[in-house]
Amino acid sequence: MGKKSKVLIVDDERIERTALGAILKEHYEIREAADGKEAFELLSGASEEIAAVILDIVMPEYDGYYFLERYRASDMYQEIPVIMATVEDDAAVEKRCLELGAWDFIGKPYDPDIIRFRIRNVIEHSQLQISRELKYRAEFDVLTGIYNKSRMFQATSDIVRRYKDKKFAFIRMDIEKFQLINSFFGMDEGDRLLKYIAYLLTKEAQGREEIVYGRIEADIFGICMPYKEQQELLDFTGRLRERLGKYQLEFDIVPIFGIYLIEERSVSPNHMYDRANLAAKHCKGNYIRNYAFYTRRMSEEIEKEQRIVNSMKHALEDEQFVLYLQPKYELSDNQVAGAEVLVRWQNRDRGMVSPGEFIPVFERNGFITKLDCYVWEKTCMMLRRWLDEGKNPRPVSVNLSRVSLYNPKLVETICGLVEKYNIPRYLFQLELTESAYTSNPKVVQETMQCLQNEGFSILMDDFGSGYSSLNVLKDIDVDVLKMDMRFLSDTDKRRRGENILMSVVRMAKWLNMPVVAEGVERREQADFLRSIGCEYVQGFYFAKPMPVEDYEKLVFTGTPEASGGGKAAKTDSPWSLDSRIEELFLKLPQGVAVYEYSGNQIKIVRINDAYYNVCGGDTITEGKRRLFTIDRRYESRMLDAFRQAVDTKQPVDCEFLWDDEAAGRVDWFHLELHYMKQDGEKHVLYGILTNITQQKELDRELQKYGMALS
Amino acid sequence: MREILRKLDEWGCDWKGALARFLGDEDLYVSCLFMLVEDSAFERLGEELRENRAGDAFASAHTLKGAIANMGITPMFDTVTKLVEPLRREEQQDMQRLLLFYRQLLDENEHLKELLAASGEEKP
Repeated sequence: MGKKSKVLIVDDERIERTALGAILKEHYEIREAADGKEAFELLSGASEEIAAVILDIVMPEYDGYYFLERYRASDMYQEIPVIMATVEDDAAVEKRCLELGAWDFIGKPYDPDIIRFRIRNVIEHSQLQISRELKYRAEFDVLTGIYNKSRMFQATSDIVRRYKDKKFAFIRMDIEKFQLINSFFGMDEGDRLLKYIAYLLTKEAQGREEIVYGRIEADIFGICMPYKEQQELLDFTGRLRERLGKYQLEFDIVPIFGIYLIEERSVSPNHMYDRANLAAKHCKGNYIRNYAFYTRRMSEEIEKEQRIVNSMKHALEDEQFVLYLQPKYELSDNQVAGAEVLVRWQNRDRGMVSPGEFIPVFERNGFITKLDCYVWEKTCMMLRRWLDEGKNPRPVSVNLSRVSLYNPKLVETICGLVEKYNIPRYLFQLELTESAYTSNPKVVQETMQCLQNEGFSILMDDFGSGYSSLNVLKDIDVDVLKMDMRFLSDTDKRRRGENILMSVVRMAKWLNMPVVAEGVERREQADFLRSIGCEYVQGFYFAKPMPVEDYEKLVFTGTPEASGGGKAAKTDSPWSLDSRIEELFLKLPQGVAVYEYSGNQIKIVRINDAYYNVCGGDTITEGKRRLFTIDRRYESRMLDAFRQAVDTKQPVDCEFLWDDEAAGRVDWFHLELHYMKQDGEKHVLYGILTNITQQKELDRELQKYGMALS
Repeated sequence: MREILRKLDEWGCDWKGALARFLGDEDLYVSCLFMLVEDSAFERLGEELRENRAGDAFASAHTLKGAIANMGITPMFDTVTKLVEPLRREEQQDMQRLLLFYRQLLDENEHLKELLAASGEEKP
């Protein structure tokens, strides 16, 4: 036997409660209250479910009417039937009770059978109501009154099966950035819009039983409708867009439609919805085209993504991810200044998987954090090996994905790694994409600060790609800016792009931040970057990403110099010149170089075109070599000349010999040094270089003749 | 037959109908008879009538009427009905007349007490 329903008897007369209890106790569990107030307290306070209330009307103080009025005011109790116990036949009393929501009457003296029937009837009726309500809720969306997801899907199956001769489409519709409507205008306004959409759909489907529609969840609606031509579907979506465009709200309401043309009727509505959903994803954020048709390729993309997901863990354990290095060159001398660490996936079955394929997937599912750690550790191991082999590595930079920023132990992890492999921190740089900052400025700011405090250099990747690049510069003290050459990719706006790049470089100089230009693919780009004083470049024109062994060959053996870099002109920040002066400097007929001198070290920071002619070398490296691989006898003379120029601030002359055994050449040079300024601990000088070999030979000849004559 | 039931029968009460409401449970019925004779509504009704509080008097009389009806005490039911109906109509009442009915009701209640005592019933 099932659990008994509970009946609440409200009567001030104990005898009545006893009598009713005796009549009902066999079938019901009895609760008693002596007046209306007590009854209401019992009803609202008790979690137990009361199936029916038997209520006496006339009671001292809180009578039956008191109870009924409160009962009517509260929606919660509407489903609980109330039966009035009345001793007389009074139409006015009955009317008033019915007005207040009473369901039925029983007369005193009680007839046990009649009471039991009436109680049973009202309870059954109320439960029927409840089950009707439940059925409604199971099939309809309470807010909009249209089908809910499960009923809509069921109806979709039904019509597709029923109208076998018709073609059907399943459309998924939602509102672009709907959550903003809730945030800006409140939930009520959002609900009002949802009801309006339901109204529009109802109107569209009026008189057409082969159209079904419903609210799937939140702002997502599903529509399954027949069509002959695809244009009919676009007319339908167009009408909805137009109507929503006129909706009274200070918000541009754009509906997005993902359309799946049902080809296989056996496909479940769930799958139809998934496919329409895939299509919808393809037009998110596209205000011009707010619909997309599902294509097989969309599923293939998902499948591809799934394959990546399935194999990623194993690939990491199996060390299928390998490091590639893309060198960064110093534009002043085309020498490798370091490299960016990139990752490639050498899949055992599929061969090389492009990072463009797997990185976005890993970013979505969070696996990128594991890959990040893996790459960092492999990088540390590589640096350690180079150091152990006595090489002199340049700094390398690793990428820090935005997901990794959420790792509270990020700084700890990175510090732990460089400590574990005992890597000097200047060798291990970190690249962070600017957009990571835009999405989470506070975390980025704090994390970057911590890493810098720990001695790491931070490179801001993709600078200028975000919406608040200037904010980034303001808030984060990054060490290097990386900007992409795509600014120059659009030929129509090339001039504009150039101006932007020039401004970025200049601005970075004011902030003492070197700039690395990425994606340099053509000589003109390199020339342009050189002319605006950009310090470093990275890109296919100089070198593609390469396996570690190739990078080692490039950097640690032979000349680590770019093949296509062309002549370099200028380097460090104090020498950023106006482009006209720059041109003048470059075109000076004399070979001029700008030097930095500090602590007995001489460094060339700028060289003009004529310098090469004077040196006879084709590249700056050769030029440098010519200057510094001078005959030992003249090294100290050269240093003396610099020292003297610095001390006296007067022009100083110096001559030296360069003996190129390989080329079988011996050259004499004259260097006229001029002091310019002090920059911190460094002294800046410029020198006019003249090849005086011929003159020296003439002198020697003259000397010979002189000696012969004497 | 239980003595009290026989006596109620003699007095003209519908004890059979009443007992049916108590599902034949004589003890329960008798215990309710004790409740009835000691009901505070009798006393309250007297005060309300004497103080000419017709509305309150109606409520008390009405309460008693329901209880008496369910207990099947027909003579008392007839008397209390004579009180309830005029009080319900909220007319200007002849209180003296109503007090007469009230006294009659009290007498009948006393009679019921005596029947219970004479039948050897004891308050549970």
